Amino acid sequence: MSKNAKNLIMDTRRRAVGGIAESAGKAVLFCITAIPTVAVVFIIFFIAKEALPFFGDISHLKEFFTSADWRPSADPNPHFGALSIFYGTAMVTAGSCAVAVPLGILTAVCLNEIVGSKTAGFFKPLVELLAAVPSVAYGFFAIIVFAPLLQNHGGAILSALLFAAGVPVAAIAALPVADFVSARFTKNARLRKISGFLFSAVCAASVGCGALSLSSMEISSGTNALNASIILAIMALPTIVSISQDALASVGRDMREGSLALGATRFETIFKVVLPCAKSGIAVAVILGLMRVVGETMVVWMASGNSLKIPEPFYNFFEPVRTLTATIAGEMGEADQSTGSARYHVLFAMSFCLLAGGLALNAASQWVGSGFKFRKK
Amino acid sequence: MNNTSTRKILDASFTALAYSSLAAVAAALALFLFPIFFNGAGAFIFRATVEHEKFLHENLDADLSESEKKAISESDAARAPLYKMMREYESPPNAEKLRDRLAKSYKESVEAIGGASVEILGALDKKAPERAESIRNISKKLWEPYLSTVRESVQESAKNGTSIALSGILAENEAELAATARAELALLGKTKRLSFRQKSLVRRIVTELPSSEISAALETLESRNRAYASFRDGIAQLLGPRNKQEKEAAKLMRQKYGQTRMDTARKVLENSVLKITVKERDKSGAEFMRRVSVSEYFHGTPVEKMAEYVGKNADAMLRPHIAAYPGFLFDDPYDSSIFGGIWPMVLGTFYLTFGSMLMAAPLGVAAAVYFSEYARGGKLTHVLDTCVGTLAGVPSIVFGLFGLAFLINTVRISESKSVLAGSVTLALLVLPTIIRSCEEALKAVPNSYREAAFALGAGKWRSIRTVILPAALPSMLTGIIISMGRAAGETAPIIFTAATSTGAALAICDVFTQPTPALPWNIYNLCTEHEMAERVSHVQYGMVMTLILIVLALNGAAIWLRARLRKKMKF
Amino acid sequence: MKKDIANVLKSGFAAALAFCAAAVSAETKIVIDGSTTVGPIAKAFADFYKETHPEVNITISESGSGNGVKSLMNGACDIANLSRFMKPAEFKSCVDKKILPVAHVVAFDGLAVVVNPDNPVKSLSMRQIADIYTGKITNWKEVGGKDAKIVVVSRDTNSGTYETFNELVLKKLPVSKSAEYVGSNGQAKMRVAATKNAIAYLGLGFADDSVKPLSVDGILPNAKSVSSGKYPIARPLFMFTDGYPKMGGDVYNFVTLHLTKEGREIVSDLGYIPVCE
Repeated sequence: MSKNAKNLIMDTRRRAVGGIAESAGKAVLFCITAIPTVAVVFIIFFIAKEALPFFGDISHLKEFFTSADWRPSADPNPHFGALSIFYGTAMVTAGSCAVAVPLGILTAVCLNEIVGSKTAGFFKPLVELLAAVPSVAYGFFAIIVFAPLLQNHGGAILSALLFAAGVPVAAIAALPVADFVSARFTKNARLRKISGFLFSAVCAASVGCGALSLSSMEISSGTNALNASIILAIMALPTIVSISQDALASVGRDMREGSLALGATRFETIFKVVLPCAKSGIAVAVILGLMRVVGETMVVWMASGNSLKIPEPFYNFFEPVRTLTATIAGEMGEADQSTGSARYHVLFAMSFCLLAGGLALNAASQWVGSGFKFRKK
Repeated sequence: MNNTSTRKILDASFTALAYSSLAAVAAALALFLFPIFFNGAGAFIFRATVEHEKFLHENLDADLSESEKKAISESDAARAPLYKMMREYESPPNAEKLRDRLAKSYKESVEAIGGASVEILGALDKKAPERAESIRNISKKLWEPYLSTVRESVQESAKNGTSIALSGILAENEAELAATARAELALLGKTKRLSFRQKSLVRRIVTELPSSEISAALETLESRNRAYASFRDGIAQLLGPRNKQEKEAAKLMRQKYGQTRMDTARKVLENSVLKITVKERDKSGAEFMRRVSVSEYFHGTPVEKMAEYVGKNADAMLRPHIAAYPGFLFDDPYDSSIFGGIWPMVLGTFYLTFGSMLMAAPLGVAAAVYFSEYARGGKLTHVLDTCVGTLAGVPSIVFGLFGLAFLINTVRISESKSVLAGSVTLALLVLPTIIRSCEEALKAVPNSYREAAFALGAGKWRSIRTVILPAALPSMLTGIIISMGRAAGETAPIIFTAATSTGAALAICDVFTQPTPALPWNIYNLCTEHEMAERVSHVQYGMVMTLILIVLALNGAAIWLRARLRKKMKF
Repeated sequence: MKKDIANVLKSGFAAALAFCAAAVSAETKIVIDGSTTVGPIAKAFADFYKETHPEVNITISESGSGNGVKSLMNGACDIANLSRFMKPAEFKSCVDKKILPVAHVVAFDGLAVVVNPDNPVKSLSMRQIADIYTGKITNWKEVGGKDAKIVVVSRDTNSGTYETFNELVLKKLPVSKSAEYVGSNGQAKMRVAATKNAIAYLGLGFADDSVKPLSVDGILPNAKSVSSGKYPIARPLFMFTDGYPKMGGDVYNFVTLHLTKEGREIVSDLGYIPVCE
């Protein structure tokens, strides 16, 4: 018997040793696998532990969520109203979603449904590139390049952007509406076509006028909610694009073919068949993008202006705002942690809220995602 | 919707819209990367001045080539006339004459006072209201010759550039007044015994008028001299110290050299040399700052000529030329990053990245092996799996706080911030990403591989080690390298755990106890907390570009690896 | 082949060990942490000190006054930079940990109130500044400037600079909610340099040609007016050590550098005001 063959045959002793080694190895692997779990527990525990002294006081708790009076360092009676900070976080998140979600989904659709695989192969790394860029580089861009630009030529930039994005969207959106409305009054195809174009032109023109009227607007400060939103949107874009694209790709070929065979245009196929099929996957993409935005620190710290006011009116994106993450990063250094003062704990209370938000979003994504995976099969 | 043409148009325009979204993403990327790469390249290749070579030669042992030596000597020659003008302005050749003239008229006035004892004593005996009047008159009469000389020379000084000399001489005279008063008191004391009150009156007669006039003159001169000083400081900022003594006296490196880069030199020339900030008073006596151009403020004086000379000959004095400075990556920073490179930060980033990978990669692979090979579903696995997702969802700043509260304040893995603490924090941050990507990689290994290994009699562990891991290695490596890029670029987790704003490059043995500067944090620090942020703007861009390049290189390597190894083993 | 690799590894390891040993024995360390305002002084001192003592490794973190105290208390740093005096609670917990903080006043700092150089406003009274920051005055027109909204820029509420400003100018009234907050002096300067209608306050050392300091109650901030106490918004800057450092040691040399001629020159070159002339 050759040596190798001998090795393959195990005697009982070796088998026993092997078995013990096997289970020991498995135990070690299990322990390692449990590290993330332990880490999650520890993170929650430690953040909660430091936050508890603050939340323990009911009056604090109420003020924290309902008042916008943030004076943690006032000496005799500090105030910990974080409402404006929560609002700032929500505002920046909403703003960046408004930009990133349509753009991201549209890009994903384009990559997956419209362009050929070669073009997609060229653009996909570009999108990944956006994801790879460190957040501090985005923050640097926001404060050094974008903020002065926005401040000095804000009106012109905005009107150009609105013009470029808004006019075609308005024109396209107006078409089906006009078609639908005119179908009620006339059967004449020619008339309907003309009325559709007219309506679409009117819509496009009105948006264009709106865009032009923006051009004379003055922005007093370039570091504001808009700046942070746009930069955050760029950061969230890759997440949304790549996950939505996966979702779109998982929609079966048969669905598309069926739809096309029934005479639907590509637009109709995408809108009425592919997107509804992939909707849970896209929802996951949006949630994960949202998570990236909410948890992002450097960009908002550098670009949002860090003002404590709830903007007036509340939708005014040209006013500076402050977010949870920026508050934590900015104030932790100066809070006298040594004495365990209230303002040290309030920052932990904030990160606890942030953590809770993150966990909730994560749970939501898994809940929605489970539907997505199910469909995938 | 039945109208075919509308539907077609809708379809076409939707396609166009989708394409334009793609274009928008590409444009965003280009708009973002272009300024960073364009300006960042400026840290390595830029229009340098001779000061750059001087700095390299004197601090980093760079040899000067013949042409560089020639450029330096030529620039010195071009500066010589300016320095000569400045020297003449600061200590004019006719200062002695001026001193003599003032001294002479001062002496005359003193003699006049000596001869006016009777008058003065007479004034002392008068009653209150008249006394003040006569004191003023006597004073005026006695000092008039001197004070008119002072007024004249102050007026002349504006044109002939003797302000600095004159203010020195006047200050001397003012100091002399007390002695003059003492002498006069002694003289009067010989004829009559004076009461304390009378003595102070005498002092007033002798000193009050001239001292107030001299102070007024001095204030005029001083404000002019201060304006000149700020012009001179501007020149020093632009060209560096004028001579060896000044250079040796300089304490900060920024005072030892002029502007090393032509772009900043232009700015200094515009903002600090040709324009200066002068202090002025309004009618109510309140001070305020005003920006004026030098030629306007010093119109008709030698300083105007200096400014003109600097404006015309800036290039000859600085000798701008294109220079490549690869040392930006490998040199230590000098004087708060105004000079030199970014090596400690780059090194710190490498330590943090590799440190975190040393921990996260083996752990991540092990966990992935467990998930894909051992886990049998069930509640426990589900919990473990969920927690990986949860950890991925924790905001990065929370990791930083956790590192601070747990690793440093509770476990005390180091006394304070250290590379170790930062690496552990970063490792936790990237762990979920690594687990997920490795798990994907392992799951992609076809089951036939496992079955074949088992069929050959290999145990589970053996088959994992010899068959499955090698097969999954390429995609696992890709995932790990991409996570490495993420670890390199993260800022928030290291703020409280590892990063300092200044510090030397660390030796490898210090990583367990010492904090380090690191690119991401120093980018933030430099662009927000530097006292001369505009002077280090090239360093900011250079750092950002280096960081992006590091991350992109890692990602590029991952993509290359994936492509290469995929060709090798297909399944 | 394998042997070669092993040999290379071995010798590399030995070299690394030797290198470490050399590094450990040769280097003494000064670890500095704390305020961003004192940062430039500490950095310049470090550069200067390293020239004469190349064997000393100095690391400086600018993580804020509060962090500085914490590091000092934990024995994690030798010198804590503070732009305010240590608070009673901080002092107490230091003493509880057997750390005896000793204050060294290294310089004075005037807080310059600055506006964009294009702003025609030249001077403000303390009252006007307070009104601007509390939100009573919102337009430059009201203080003799153009008809434009004032962009109020303040330092973070927890910075030492903010506390000084709040105490000396605002008399502890809260800053208006529409104020923007920035994390550092440099950022405040950048905001004002880039924003036509902004106003900010920052350490005198940071005020350069890109911004215009206003005169406060008719007095401009400079070395003379601050050290004579005429300029109303000024404060001392501190370095804290644990006990008085051993005389002649590196830490001692460092915290007494500001008393030497060179140290004073560095301090004034950076735009701060030396403690003694």
